[in-house]
Amino acid sequence: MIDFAFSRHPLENILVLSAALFVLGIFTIITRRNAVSVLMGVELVLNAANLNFVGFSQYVPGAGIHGSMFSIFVILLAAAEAAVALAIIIGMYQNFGRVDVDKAELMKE
Amino acid sequence: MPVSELLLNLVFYIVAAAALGGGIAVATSKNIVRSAFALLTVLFSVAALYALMRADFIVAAQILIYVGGILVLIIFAIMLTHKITDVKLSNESSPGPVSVTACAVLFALIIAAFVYGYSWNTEPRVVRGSDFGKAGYGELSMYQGGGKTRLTPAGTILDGFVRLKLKLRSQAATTARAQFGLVKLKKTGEWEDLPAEKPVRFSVENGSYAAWTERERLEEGKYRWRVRLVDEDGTETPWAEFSAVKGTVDFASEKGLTRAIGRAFMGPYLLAFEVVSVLLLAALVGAAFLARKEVRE
Repeated sequence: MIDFAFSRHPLENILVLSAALFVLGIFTIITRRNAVSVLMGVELVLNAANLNFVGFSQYVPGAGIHGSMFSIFVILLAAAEAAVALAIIIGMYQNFGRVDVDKAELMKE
Repeated sequence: MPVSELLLNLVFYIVAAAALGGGIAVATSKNIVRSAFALLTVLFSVAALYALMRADFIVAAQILIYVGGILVLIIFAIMLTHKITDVKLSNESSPGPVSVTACAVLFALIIAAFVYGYSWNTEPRVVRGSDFGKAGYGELSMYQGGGKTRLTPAGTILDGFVRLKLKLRSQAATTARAQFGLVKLKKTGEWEDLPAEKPVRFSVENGSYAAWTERERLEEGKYRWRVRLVDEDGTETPWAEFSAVKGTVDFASEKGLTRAIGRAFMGPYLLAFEVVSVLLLAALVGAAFLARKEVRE
């Protein structure tokens, strides 16, 4: 019998939840046309990865603090990535009048 | 299952359901503003999960940077790339059967890898045995909380206790009694005796001892268990220190992660810290450059 309780198996619960968030993020990235929505999908994936990092750091004996450090760096990089992505999206909007990722084919020519 | 544990599970499942529901809304909502607000739900739920995992500093970073910074940027991006008078802020998506199947298979693979790929051992392990001479051989195991999770830096909110179990394997064990104590690591690297049995309580059942101490009541620092036996006639065996590897720490009592994270930033992660600060500066300059109005001659 599998015990689903969070208090008994905290790491497994966190891992399953983060797997679901990760897959939802991937789904968002591959199905959306709007570049801003794709960015939201990326944020979901990063959050899922962060959950894993903190979960392993807190629940694996002897793991120390390194997982938490990585999650802080991931959050910081996500901030930089969001700023640059916003600039690119606004540039796209100025040039094409829309922000659909499948319409941005300027680099093909 | 005691009420507090039940409550903890209930809180976890509510927060997890909020995170999942938000994620589904981000992936499927027809309106992009609704997607953005669903993302807000996900980010707050993830912050709550960090709080359940006792990662306090990460909670603050998540709320300040993700909710206060990144989500605001995303909402700016939505508002700047749609005409503000648009009633229908549509959010096209093309979920074909291929993408749905691919994501379902991916999820199944990840779960299968978790469930079958690696066994996450949660039973307490006998780390070391100790020889107590005449009284026989004692087997020590250390764990946390309700007895199921192994000793981890966090545990859940309820795992405030660190427990040690001692099983004596000898006839003499019935006449001897065990004493438990803690030693604390000093800054100089030496181990300091704590007043015996003051922070430690124990119970006996059929020659099997269970000792426990409350983490919250200990000062911040690194601790190690020790055990000795006292015979009927009052002779004491020397203290047997309990540690998996000689000279290592058994458990640490820390009030939150913040101090440890600050030390790590100024210690082993100093280079990464500086590189990230330069990267943030470069991203700032680059974003300002990309987003400015082009000046054509």
